[in-house]
Parts: sequence; structure tokens; C-alpha cells
Amino acid sequence: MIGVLKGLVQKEFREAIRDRRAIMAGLFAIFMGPVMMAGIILFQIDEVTEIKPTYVEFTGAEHAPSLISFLASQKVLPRDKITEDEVAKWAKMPITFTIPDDYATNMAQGKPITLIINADFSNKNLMKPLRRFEKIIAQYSRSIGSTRLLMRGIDPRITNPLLLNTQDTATPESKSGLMMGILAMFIMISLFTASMTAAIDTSAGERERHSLELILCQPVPTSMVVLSKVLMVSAYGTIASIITMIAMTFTMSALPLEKLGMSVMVDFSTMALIAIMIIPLGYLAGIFQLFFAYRAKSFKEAQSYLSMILLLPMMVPMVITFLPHKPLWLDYVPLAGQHLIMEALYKGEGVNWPAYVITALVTTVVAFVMTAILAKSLKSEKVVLGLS
Amino acid sequence: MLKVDNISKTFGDFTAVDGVSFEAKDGEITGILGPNGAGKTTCLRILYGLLKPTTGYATIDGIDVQKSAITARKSLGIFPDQFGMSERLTAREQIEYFAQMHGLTGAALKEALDRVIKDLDMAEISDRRTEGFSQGQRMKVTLAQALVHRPKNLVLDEPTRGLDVMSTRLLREQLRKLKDEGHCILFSSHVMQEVAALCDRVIVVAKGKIVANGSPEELCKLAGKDSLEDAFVAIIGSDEGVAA
Repeated sequence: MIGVLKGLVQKEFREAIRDRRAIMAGLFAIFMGPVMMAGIILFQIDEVTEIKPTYVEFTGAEHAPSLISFLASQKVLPRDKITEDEVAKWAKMPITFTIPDDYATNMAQGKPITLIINADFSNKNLMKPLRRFEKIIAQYSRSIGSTRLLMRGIDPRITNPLLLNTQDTATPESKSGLMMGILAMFIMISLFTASMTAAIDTSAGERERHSLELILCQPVPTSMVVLSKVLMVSAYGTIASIITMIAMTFTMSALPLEKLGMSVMVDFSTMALIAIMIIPLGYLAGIFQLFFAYRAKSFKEAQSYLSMILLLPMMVPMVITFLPHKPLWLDYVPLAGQHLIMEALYKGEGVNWPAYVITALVTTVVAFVMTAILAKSLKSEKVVLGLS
Repeated sequence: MLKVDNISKTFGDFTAVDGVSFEAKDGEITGILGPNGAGKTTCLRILYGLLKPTTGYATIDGIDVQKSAITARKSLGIFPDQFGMSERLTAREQIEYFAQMHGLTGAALKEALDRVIKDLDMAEISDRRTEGFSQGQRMKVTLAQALVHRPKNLVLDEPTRGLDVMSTRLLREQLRKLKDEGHCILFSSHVMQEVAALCDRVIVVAKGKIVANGSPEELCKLAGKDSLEDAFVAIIGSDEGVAA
């Protein structure tokens, strides 16, 4: 029987290695993650480290020359100073700032002055500039107030009785929480995207080529046929996922993450831990895809089923991120458990060993049960009758 | 030897096969002749152990396929109606796959492959990928994968469909040779000339039942007609679905 299984496995791998479409899918899965991740991070660094000028339409600027020059020193500029490549962007998000005619009089008399800022506060792109603008005005207002108190011989600190000293215990590693969640998600996605084409080709594709019936007529148990296929599909996904993980880790350590106040510290042994963890998950991803692909009559039908399955590795991390109170059992659920462990490892936290072992066991058991069900279903008359 | 005894198969209200019994003896070519939808494929699927008969049983060399499908299938070679093959494998690898499923390994495997490739005169194409193979070349590969483990029994399902004259001839020669070697050959078809030219015994099925059983000459005599085609139409009682 070992010889028979060897033959089946040999055929699956021969086919898979020569399947250009499947190889391309695997390579795509491997490159997509690191490239996108690098893109996101570089963009973020650019956003965070550089203060971009804000352009504002001033009315009554002539009444408050010193305020205008203070704003200019903080990179809040009048609209006519707009640079050419920014014109289009700012045309869509106008900010107007009105200084009243009696500004100078009221300022001289120490009366309150109402300044009007007019903009679309729901515009996501304006959120940061507007918040900064408000801060600048508040700061200017406070400095005039303090000067007035000083001139009357009063310590301006009297208006600020409480001071809050914020001490952040976040480490550069833990600050990167969301980023590490995304990283873990990419590693899981490649498990599915890399093996999808191979999974469809060996199941629905084989049925479409009219090979399946003849195979089912041979003196081999269906469990062996399924086993040979799941070995191939899982190997595809697992190898791609591990390569993605390694590529991701190196990409992240090559990027200037410290500019975002983050850091990734993943050594070789951590990478090995993650790789071992991916293996049972690869088995589950493989059988999961085969399980549904065998229910399809054609390559195309299978593709539409499996693209829905592809949502799983994206949904699970999202649910985890947005769940307000994470239930304890989530640690042991396949995909969710592995995601949490990976996230923790990338954040530099330790391994939750019970979760590491139990998730692996649960994942293997679920995958094994699915293998058995699939093997049994291939013996059913319904499948045979669906062949022609 | 292949034998089915009183097999019936119903799907809901529909009876696909109704009390069919026949035997295909060693050293003979037995033909199952019937119009489309007569129940030929269902009969064969029961014989392969893919479908469970509602009544009756089927045996291959005396082994009940329902009870021990895997053992029974070991002495069976199947030539299916569609030459499905993996286009990324070479002809040799394709045949090797089936040989391995029948338990051949090592030197025995290599020997079996060399022999069948030589027998079917396909050395030229054996190391080419099957992608782009002509129908005749595909037929050879399909026949080779059915014969590589030297099965005592061979079942062919509409084997000459879509084949040119040369390929049909080659197939016929092979079948005669196998018959002379004492193999049991069962062959389903709706092509009269084919059946008349090859079969020692013909079983005519229509609407799930056997309507006649005998040598081609006996069938002609039974129906009082000169050609098997006329006899067939007379026996099944209509010319529906006989277009070959």
C-alpha cells in the first residue's frame, strides 16, 4: 500500500510542479505580501515624519498681520502660495479662515475675538490639517493671554493648576500591533492564494478532464487518493507561506520602522517556531480547499467557491482586531489561534505554549476529520452520478 | 470472468436497470449493445463497484464487487468512454500512474511499462507530454493504462467513438490478440459493425432490460433479418436512438 501511495503522490507532484498557472499563483502570493507591506510602511513614514503645509483662504488677513505670520511660520499658508502639484488636491478641500474687521480694536481693548474657520470636517484628508490648525490658534491665543497676565504682574502658571505627565509604557515592538496583525494576515493569506489553483486543478479540473471516474474505478481506497492530493496542495501552501513569512520578516527589518516608533525583533528561532506552526495550518488550508473544490463540477465553479474561502484568512484577523472582549477560547480556534501567536511573536512577546500546542492539535484534528469526510463522500453514489 | 446476476438499480421512481443477468466468459468478446439511455453505463458502474445495485450482485473472477471492491478491481482493466488524461504528464508517466495504482513497483513496474509500450507500438510518443495528442494517440495511452497490469478482464465503454480507421483497426487487433490469450473482454457499444465484427456473444439491452442474448448470427436468426442492425431494430422494437 505504501508503494501505491508513493505512486499517487508522485503523480500529484509531477503535475503540480509542471502547472505554470499554479506556480505563478504561488509566486504572486509570496511577493504580494512583502511588496504591499513595504508600500504601506514607506507611505506611513512619509506621512508621519514630514509636516505638509496647509493652505487656507484668508479673509481679513490685513487686520492681523502678526497672527498671519505666526501661522506662516507653522506652515499654514495663504492659498496663493500653493505649489503647482498641490493645486488639484487642495481645490477639492477648501478651508476658509475669517478674521473680523474689529480684530485690531478688540485685541487692543482685551476683548474676546471670534475667528471663523469654515471647512468640511468629515473629510478624512482634512482631519489632520484642521486639528493642527486648531492647536496653532489655541497656542497663539494662550501666548497672548500669558503675556497679558505677565504685564499685569501675575504668574501665568496660575491659570494652569494641574499638569499631566503622560508616561507611555508601550515599547517600540508593541506599538506596531496593528502592523504586525497585517503582517500575520499576509502570511495566512498566502497559505490559501498559493495553493488555490493547484487545489482546483487536481480536483474539479480532474473531473472536468473526465479522469476522476476512471481513478475511482481503480483498486485504491479513496482515502489514499484524497491523501495524495491533500499532501500536494498542503505542501504548496505551506512552502509558499513559510517563504512569505521569511521574506516579510526580512523586508520589515530592512525598513526604517524606528521612524514610526516601531521595531520588529524576530530571530531565527522565532521564525522556526512560526514555520512549525504553519504546517498543521497548511494541512487544514489544503483539505478545506479540496473539500469545496470537489463539490464543484467545473474549474470555474470551483474558482468561485474557493475565492469565497479566501475571505477566511482576511476575516479572522479583522474580527480579532475589532472584537472588544476577546473570548479565551479564541486562542484555540484554527486560524485565530495561530494569528494571535504570530502577532504576539512579532510584537516581541513570548509564546503562549498551551495555546501553541492546543491550536496545532485542534487544527490537525479538524483537518483530519475533513479528510475522512471527503474520502467517504468520494465513495458516495451522488458523486459518481454527478460525473457524467 | 465477469458476471452480473439479477441486478436492478432504481433512482427514486426511475428504474435504470431491471433484473439484468449475464456472463462474459474468458477467451470471448462479449458485447453489450443498446441505444443511448438503455442502462449500459449504469450496468458497468455496478460492475466496477461504483454504484450499489438495488438487487442482485456482480462478480469479477468470482469476487463480489460490493463486498471487496478493491480486490475485485485488481483483475480488471477499464477503457473508459472518454480519454481523460493529464496533459502535463508524458504518456509513460500517465501509464505508470495507473500501473502504480495496481501495485506495481520497482523492476516489475519498469518491465510492465516497457512491455505495454512495445506491444502497442508507442515508443515514439511515450516520452512526450500528452498535451496535443491526436485521438488515436490518446486511445493508445488509454488502452495501455488499462492493460499495463495485465488484467484478466477488460471492459471497454464505447471504445471506437471518435477514432479513425487506423486506430479502430489497431484496437480490434489488440482485442483479438487478448481474446486469443484467454482474456475476458466486455465491450459496450451502439455501433453495429463493430459488434458484428468482433463479438462472440451479444447482449442487447433496452430500457434497462436484456431483450436478447446470443451470437450475432443467432440474433439475426431470432429477428429474421440479414444484418445485425436490422435485427437490433427489430429486437428493441423502435429505431429510437440507434444513430451511430
